[in-house]
Amino acid sequence: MSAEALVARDLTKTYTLRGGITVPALRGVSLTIHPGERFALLGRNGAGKTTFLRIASTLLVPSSGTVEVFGHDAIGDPDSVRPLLAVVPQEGKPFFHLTPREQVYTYLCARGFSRATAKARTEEALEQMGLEEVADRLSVTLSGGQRQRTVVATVIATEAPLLFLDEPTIGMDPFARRGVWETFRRLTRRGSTILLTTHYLDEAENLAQRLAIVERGRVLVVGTSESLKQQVGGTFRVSVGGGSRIRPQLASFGNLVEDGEAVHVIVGPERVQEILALSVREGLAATVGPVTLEEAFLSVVGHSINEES
Amino acid sequence: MAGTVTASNAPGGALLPAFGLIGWRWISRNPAAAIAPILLPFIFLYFLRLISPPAYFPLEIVGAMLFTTQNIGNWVLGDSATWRIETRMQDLFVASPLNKVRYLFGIALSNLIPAAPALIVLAVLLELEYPVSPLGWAVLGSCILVLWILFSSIGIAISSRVRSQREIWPVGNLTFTFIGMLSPLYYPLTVLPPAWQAVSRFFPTTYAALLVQGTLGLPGAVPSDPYLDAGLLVALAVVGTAIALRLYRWRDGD
Amino acid sequence: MALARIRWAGTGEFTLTELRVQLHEGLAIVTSMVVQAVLLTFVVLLARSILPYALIGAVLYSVFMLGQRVQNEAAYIRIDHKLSDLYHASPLSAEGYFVGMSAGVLLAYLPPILVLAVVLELVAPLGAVATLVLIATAAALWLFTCSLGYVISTFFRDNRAIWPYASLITSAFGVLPPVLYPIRFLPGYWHPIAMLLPTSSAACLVEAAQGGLVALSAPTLALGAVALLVEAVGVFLFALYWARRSAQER
Repeated sequence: MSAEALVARDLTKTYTLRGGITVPALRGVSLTIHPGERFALLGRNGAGKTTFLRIASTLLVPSSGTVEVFGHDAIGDPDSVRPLLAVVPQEGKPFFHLTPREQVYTYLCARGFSRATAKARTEEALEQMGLEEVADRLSVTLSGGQRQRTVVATVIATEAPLLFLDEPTIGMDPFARRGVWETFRRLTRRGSTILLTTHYLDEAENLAQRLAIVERGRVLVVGTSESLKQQVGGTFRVSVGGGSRIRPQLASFGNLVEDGEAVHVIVGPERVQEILALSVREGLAATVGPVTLEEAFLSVVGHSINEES
Repeated sequence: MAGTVTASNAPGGALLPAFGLIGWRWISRNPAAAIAPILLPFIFLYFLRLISPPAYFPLEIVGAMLFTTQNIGNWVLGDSATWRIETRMQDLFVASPLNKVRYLFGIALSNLIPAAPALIVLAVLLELEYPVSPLGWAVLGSCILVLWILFSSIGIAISSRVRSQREIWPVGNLTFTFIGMLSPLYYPLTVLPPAWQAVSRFFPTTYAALLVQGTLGLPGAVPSDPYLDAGLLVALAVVGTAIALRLYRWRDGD
Repeated sequence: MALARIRWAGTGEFTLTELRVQLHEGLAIVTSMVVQAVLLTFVVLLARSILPYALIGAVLYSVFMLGQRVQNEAAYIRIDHKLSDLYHASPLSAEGYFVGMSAGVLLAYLPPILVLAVVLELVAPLGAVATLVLIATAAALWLFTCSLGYVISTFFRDNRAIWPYASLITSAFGVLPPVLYPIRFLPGYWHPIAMLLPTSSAACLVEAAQGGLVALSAPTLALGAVALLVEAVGVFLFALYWARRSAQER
């Protein structure tokens, strides 16, 4: 039996729409996730993140390829795998006529937990998600962030060995998100493995031990956030306001990430002074900071887009 | 502990009570969800009472009970489609030790609960209008059980093919109201034109109606072989349920 | 609220928008006659002699069902899509939004209603006066039902919770009162009450205009006509007010 939490090999998925139009959502994706790891999938809208997550969590049949979850065949024998996983779907909502407490409790009971265990885990999950004060309010009366936390609470209460979280903190305020991150860290310390998709790059940077960037159904790069930042050609980001008018000169220093009129140049420490001097000569404002995951992401995906076109 | 890579939750547990709680909460917190299933059969019974021979009334009450049971399939269709499309809650159940048959029973039970008061009130009305023997109640109860399973299966199978919330109402209307109309639930079989009678013989509700009408000796009941009716009801129900479960798409792309 | 202050900006455009949306739901349009078909089948099988009444009633019941469509549509757009926010925070007036939605639904569902009207004409042809009364009462009923449906839709936060109310309302207004059956089936003391309901008063007015179908006194008929008019206009005006008020959450 494989020691890995998830092994996906050459996954492809093509959707066929009305009129025979085909949309290739995944084009040969291979990924390995280690037990106890927090792994994030990043990508633009429509990149294939959710499609991958749904296939891996037995919610969707792929066109081809294999997925193993703790050594079990998730595609051919999904029933063998389902006791080992739980999923927070994208844009999920709790049952409106139930309270968060009832939502979590009934789900745990349906999964086969004894009532005593379900009750205990429900209370723990509600506390971890900061829902104690609204635990007995109908979900229809909760805010969007509270509803999302209810769905997350429902799933983390299972403490399944493998958790799939599709944009789990969408709609949550920064405090709530940090609380949820801590809960996810606690879960992996206790042995769960987490695969999440997110558009929040700070979330990926803070939470994920490894991540992959997906674009147009392919994995562009896999690594830690530090290794990804190093790949983009430097550890510093010099942001030049209005730098688009000296773009050719800036391009000679290193990779560029453009943001409207501003241009961010990714360079090593040895070239920072040169760019600052150039900016001053041109009468432009410039700031210096460490490369963030966002620049790495924009750079990697931007290159991919350029290559495809 | 979650780190142990074995099933952290074995099949079993409190599945039916969990779904029962979901169904109970639905009607306890939505008065109309409790009242509508009770009132609607009576509104139609009232209409039929006005336009049809009075002797048919007990038959119409039984028909209302069978139609209410069949209509649970419509509610199952609505619920399971909503859970899949709008709330995405079905994903949580698919990615769990629960299998589709147990999920079906859960949803079917959660929708039987709102229908139960209507069935009970109709049963009381039937007893007042036309006292029923213990055998009659057993046959009626069995038919209700069979139709509940069959039409819940049909409802959930259809729901897995519905693509948006908007499709729920017309698809449900077409399927369940249409089947109800084709079967002699509210009138004797002989009232139908011969061609229609032949078509109605393909529906399990027809045999349920004939069986109950015959066993209870209701005015208007058509003479028929109860064992044949029972056998055909069960056979059609088994086949229908099997087909429905086969067509039920538990996982996208299946 | 003075009539002059009602704003109609964007009504036409939103009517077309809603029509376009509804025409994508072909199955819903086609199956909108299923309940009527069932009830007419009961009549044909069990009480053929009242078929003319049932057909007149079925046409009016179909118009009444439009309110349920508006109710579901308004709730769906607001709760599921949250698109009502886009339209309310725009030059489109709230009144235009409500009326446009109602008109769009009417246009989309008119074909099956007309088919039913043709069936009526083939089975139990109406005279010219009765036809005019049918059109007028159907129009009043449309005003009433769409207004009621739209107002009710604003009270719900969950689509699923609406369905039982929709069933109850259409059955309570359409099946219970003498819409699909002659009013003479009810005891005399129920007649004035039946004439206060817009659906049954519309049906009785058409039957009276046909001559020979119903024998109601002139005061009773007048009661029905006035009630229908007052209810239609009153609920419509309230709906206009409510549309504007509910466009902004409080």
